[in-house]
Amino acid sequence: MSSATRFSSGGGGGPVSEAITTKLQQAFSPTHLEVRNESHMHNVPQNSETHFKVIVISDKFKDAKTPIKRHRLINETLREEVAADGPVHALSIVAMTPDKWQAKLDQGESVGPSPNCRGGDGSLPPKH
Amino acid sequence: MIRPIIFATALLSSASCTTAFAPAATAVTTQQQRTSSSPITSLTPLKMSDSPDTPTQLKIQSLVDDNPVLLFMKGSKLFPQCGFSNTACQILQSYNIDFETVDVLADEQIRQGVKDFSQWPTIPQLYVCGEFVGGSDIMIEMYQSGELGEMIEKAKADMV
Repeated sequence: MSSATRFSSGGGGGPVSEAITTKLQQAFSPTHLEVRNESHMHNVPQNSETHFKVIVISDKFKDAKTPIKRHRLINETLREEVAADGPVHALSIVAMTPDKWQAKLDQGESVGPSPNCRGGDGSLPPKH
Repeated sequence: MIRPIIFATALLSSASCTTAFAPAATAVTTQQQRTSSSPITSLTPLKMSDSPDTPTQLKIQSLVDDNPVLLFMKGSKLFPQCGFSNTACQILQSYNIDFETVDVLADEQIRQGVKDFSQWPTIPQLYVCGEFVGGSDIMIEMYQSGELGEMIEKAKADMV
């Protein structure tokens, strides 16, 4: 836990970002955690907390062999945030074990930003 | 949480490629088993907010059964209206496969309904041979690993 890091781009750690960070830390005790607020890439008011990318690296994914299982674990943890009436409009997920993550880093790979919005969901209420 | 038998039989009687991914299909298939492509079923299910036999759920089931490669997305292949949906389309187009899309922006009931159906909170959502594959992050991961290509090849073989 002490080595967990938090990264937030595009507007500080607001309440939603904080809630996501806390829940992921509690659920997964990640060796590495990034919660990136990507809302600024979308057509939403400044300092919005609607679009996020989370990078969760945890030993707890050892039993979740397929990506769909790992993603479901995270969706479940952030259920309130991603619900139809919740604050988060889009959630991009990178979830892997520390070994896989290290292998990715060793290959010089990194996690880039999500694709830019294409205008179909700029208003706040509709969800991704 | 257990889906009625009608869904299991619908799955079994649809395109032959379903057997490629569900060789051990039994008479009663739960939602978890149906949406999982691996035998491990240690998932905590998300709560379903919609009954499985509403007209919307039945419509989605029939779309999934009738189309070997089906993408629920925002916008269309020509005009994706979301970056994630665009990524998903581009990946599928790279396989040179004839895939179908459903624009969830055109139908609010499908938009919410498919989230309940798949127990997955975001769009896009990909189905191959009746199996839920995942969203755009998973598609990228499986595209890079080659897994999605194999899956699509199987679907292609059954389409002819």
